[in-house]
Amino acid sequence: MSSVQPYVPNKDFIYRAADALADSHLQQALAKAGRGFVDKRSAAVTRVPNFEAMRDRARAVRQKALQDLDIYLLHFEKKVTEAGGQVHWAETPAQMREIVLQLCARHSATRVTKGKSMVGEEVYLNEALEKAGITPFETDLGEYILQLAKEPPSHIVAPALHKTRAQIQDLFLHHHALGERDLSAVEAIVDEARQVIRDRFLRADIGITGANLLIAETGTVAIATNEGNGDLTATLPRAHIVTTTIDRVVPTWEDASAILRVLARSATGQQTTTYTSFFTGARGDTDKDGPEAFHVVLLDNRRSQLLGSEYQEMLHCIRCGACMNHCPVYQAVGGHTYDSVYPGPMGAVLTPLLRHRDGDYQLPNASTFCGRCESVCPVKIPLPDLMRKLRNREQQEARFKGAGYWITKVFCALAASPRLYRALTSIGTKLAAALGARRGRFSKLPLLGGWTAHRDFPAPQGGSFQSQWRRNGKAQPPVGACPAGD
Amino acid sequence: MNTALPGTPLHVGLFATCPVDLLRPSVGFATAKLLEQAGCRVSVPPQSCCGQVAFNNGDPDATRKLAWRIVKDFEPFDYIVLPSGSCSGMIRLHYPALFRDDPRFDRVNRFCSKVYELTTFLAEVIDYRPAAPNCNLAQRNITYHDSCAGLRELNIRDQPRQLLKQCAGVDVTEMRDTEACCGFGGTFCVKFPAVSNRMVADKVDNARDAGADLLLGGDLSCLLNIAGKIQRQQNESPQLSKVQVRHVAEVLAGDLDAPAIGEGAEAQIPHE
Amino acid sequence: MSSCRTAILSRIRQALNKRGTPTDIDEAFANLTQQVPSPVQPPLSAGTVEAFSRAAADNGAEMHRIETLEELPGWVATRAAELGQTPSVVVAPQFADTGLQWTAIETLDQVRQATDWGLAWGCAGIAETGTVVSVSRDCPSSSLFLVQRLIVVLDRADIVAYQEEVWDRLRQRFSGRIPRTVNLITGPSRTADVEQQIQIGAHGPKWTDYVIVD
Repeated sequence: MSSVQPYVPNKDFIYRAADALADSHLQQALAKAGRGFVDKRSAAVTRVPNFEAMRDRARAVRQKALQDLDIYLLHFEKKVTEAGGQVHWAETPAQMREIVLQLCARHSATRVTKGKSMVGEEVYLNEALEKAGITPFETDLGEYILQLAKEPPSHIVAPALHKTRAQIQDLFLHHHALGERDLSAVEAIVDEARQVIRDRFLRADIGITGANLLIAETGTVAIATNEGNGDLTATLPRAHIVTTTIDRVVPTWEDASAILRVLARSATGQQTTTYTSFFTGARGDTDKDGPEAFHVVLLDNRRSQLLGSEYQEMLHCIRCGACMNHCPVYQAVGGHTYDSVYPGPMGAVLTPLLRHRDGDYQLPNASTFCGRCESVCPVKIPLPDLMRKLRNREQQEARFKGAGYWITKVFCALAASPRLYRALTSIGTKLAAALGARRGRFSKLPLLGGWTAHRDFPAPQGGSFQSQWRRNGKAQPPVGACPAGD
Repeated sequence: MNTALPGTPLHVGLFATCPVDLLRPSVGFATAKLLEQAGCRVSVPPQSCCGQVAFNNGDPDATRKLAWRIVKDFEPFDYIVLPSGSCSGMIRLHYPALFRDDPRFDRVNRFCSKVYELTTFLAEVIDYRPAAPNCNLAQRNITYHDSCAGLRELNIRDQPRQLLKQCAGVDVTEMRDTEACCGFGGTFCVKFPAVSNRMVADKVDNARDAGADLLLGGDLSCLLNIAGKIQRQQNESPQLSKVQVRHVAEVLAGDLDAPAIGEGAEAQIPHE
Repeated sequence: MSSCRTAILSRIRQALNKRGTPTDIDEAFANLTQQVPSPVQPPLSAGTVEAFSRAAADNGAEMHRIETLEELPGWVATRAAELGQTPSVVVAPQFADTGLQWTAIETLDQVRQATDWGLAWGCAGIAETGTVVSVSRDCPSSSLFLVQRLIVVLDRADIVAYQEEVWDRLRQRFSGRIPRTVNLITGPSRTADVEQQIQIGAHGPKWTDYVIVD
């Protein structure tokens, strides 16, 4: 029926990256998005003199929430129940899917509207719904575009960031039987989506949304959006199901404020999103509208294993996307290259921890540790440190050590004896310099094919610094230094 | 901060770092010259790697071994100075973390507080002001690559620019995305060559767009990457504008006799 | 899936080195949240009402003022005329007790079509972000979200500096159970999902008028 090919990623990051770099549509889309996020965040952050203090507070809130996570979750559950809602617990993606399908059956639902939920993506909820004969309608514009394209999101805040306007226009012309029309302007595309999706809000049996925050104090689910689709999804149908995870909880409304203040500024450079909505339980007697049933499905999916581990700080993440917006690797290859719901630096940490799939360790390796992600993270997650820990874990788990491991080992053994190192490197550098002296560089080198495929390698000047310094007689023993006993 | 007795020059241990030691000793000599001009006594004890390679590739035990060796060999000095933000950051920030649960922690921590990247040491620790500029590059169009570790771990940004003004009489022309990584990233550049290439190509484009004919930086490894890319491009497209690459220490010290990075004897022939 | 619940909670407790669950969860929660650190808030650029108006305008809302509530029906009619439109206006139920006469415009109880306007009475305004607050006890979501133009009326006295003051007001007003929905609305709906270009008017209103009653 559809001319769109299903998205099947290559198993290897390096190949996916190569494809991404060669994909002119993707590169065009990334170039358009690239600096926008960076500039907007920077402007928003400069507008508030105390943004650093806000980050510290947001971080403190996340720390506090995790410190007594059991109590906050139980209090959250109690309050949801008191407000006429129900909390469901799922250890695995399969259990979450099963719970949602059971709820759909209980409410005799055939039509479901969906707000953007990364957790829904994490558990492949749409596929499960479709298999069960239930039509899920994505209502977030980005998610809707991807549903038409049969592709996963490539960004946690801007899911269709990898699509160009022309591609979106083609998708709409192909899927909406609305005759000939001009969709060249963004406004026309957005208007058409508004028109097509409006009816779906009105006719849905169940609305499924994610959650930005769960407030333990009152059993409240908070959602921050700009389009307004989340609210229509949460409010108009008979039942509202929230797919979320155990680490979204914060203690109080004041704590929610602390997170919200850094969330939009970091994500889109807004002071606040257009809509921040707080949903508590089912519709009460005096409420003017709202769903008759309210369900919160809490997924663990290995998050509780991170608690108390050296990766606990990853649970601080508030899903703003700033790390990927500022990541030079993400900017070069886009989100699909990470082959995970969670791309970029946060995904490079989270994916191997949650998914344990072969090849996931490539993700924390695909970083230059430039540190820009950590410097913009609103809750100061030390992302490079966590990636480094994962590299360490990869080495520990590896049954077969690769060439890189042994080269590092030999180098370290040599480096552990500075005098021997000095002697050997002095000879080595002289030899290499003699070979490269005329041009000053090499265009091919053994073991450095990755380097010389794209750039020359500058030749050594000849002789090591240490040996020259020593020969020039400038070496002086440091005051009080004991001649190193190797 | 000055820990030396009055009248005694500060004794600085120069840690050249692997890339400088092996590939570009002129940066080490320029560093020593600047430190001596600033009134320090400079020593170069036998040395090897700060451990960063092992640290970033998942081998903390090997890293600790190398780190402890450096602590022992360099702790007698008043200060330890490195012409690299990356290796200085490795020592100042990551050594303490590596020894967090180790009885040697206090000794490591004391040592780390004496470790400085060159331009920070000159600009902030000893307030180095040359009597006369070491060279005059006012006619050159110079841009500066802020290497990631120096910029984000050690806040190195104004120091080299201020020193360039004082020592070489030149203002830096800023390029676009000066905060962005050049794509070197240690083993990243050989493990993910295509991605790395894209990043360094962007960096070079930005330098050219800024009209630079000389790109400076404080970390030789990034500069090797950038210079290697520039030269490959110039080989393939000789019409591209020529951009030389040097370590900032060479310019600050006025040591410009050695060919720029990646330029050999043939480059000494005037470029036409 | 009660076994999941037990398993997840026991893993959490183990990770946090905790023994057992407190018997009274309310008390445990109250103990943990007794101390409220002073909030970190952005400084306001002006007095509360002025800062509110500036921030709301920055975020795309159109700002208006009227002297008394009685002027409202006339103001709405004038606004429609100004814009050359003859909309049906969905008037929130909270205006029922005000005795206001809506003779010059067509009013509705609920949204009928995409071109309808919505008229709501916000229970608070937040100067920090130029945000208006509405709760589902006062106004249904449909008239906030399914309309083309949303008009929110605010009593000047209900404009506060920061979010936290709204939370206190909500706690006071709804001591038992807070309303199903609390909406914070800041300007018209928008999306940047097509090439990251901001387009005003996604699923929610394309235009918002905030009317402050002095």
